Amino acid sequence: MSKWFKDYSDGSDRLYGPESTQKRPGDPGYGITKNGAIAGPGTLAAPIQYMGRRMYVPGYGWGTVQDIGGAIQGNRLDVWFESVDEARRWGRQTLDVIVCNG
Amino acid sequence: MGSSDTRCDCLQWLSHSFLRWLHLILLPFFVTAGSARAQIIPSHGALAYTPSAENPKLIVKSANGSAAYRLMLLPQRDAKGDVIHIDLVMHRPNAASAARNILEPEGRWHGLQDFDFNAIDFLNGPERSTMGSVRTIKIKNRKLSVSFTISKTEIVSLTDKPSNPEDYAFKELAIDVAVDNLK
Repeated sequence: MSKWFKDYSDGSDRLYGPESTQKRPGDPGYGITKNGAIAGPGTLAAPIQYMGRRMYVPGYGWGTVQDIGGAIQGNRLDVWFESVDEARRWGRQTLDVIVCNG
Repeated sequence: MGSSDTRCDCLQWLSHSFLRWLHLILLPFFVTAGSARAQIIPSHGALAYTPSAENPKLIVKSANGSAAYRLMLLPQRDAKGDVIHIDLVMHRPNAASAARNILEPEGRWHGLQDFDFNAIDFLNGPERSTMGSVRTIKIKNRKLSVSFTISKTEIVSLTDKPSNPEDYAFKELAIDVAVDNLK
């Protein structure tokens, strides 16, 4: 765990529903991440070079990078939430995130 | 009578001549307008990933014959170097390999896309993969359509008891790609 990572995520991006995937329930690949996992608690989206890495996001907990996204640029990270309300409560935060070495 | 006929002939000749000139003047405009609508010359080819061979590229030419885009399969390796994921990527010819993939949707998006190939997703063959064996991506802002058919996959398990997506890798992936102007 040697590297720190900043989180600039926007709460509105933190979902795997139609709001952030451009897909609807029933569409092929709905709720499935880039690496083929089913999105759920602990699913993170980050730049491709972090794919598969474990990260600790303060206030959220441990997660694994399983996805990328349209808004992932620089040191930006998106985290999964169950509902739009939870995502909006989290909002956009700038945090120091622990990244496990791959 | 005679002079009236001559006047008629003259008018007819002038009218035909004018139409001929008008035709010659307007023809290049219509030809140009037609070619402006065609962004690229429709192209098709085969792309394949194998560990031993150099991965081929498909060059798509613009309507004026210059290279407009290049498509290739980009393997993503795990820490041990095994190819567990492959992306189909489309770039401008001179773009860096890390440039944004033109096949990515515009705006806000997450999740598996048609250009993503996960080894574990092909355990039961291309037809049963999440996005299917025949896929089409429409790039509306560039008025392009990219269609591809997955023609061959070979998957190997990396452990004796595979249980995670990372436990499978590609030995081979072959696709037939066609790029056309969006109708």
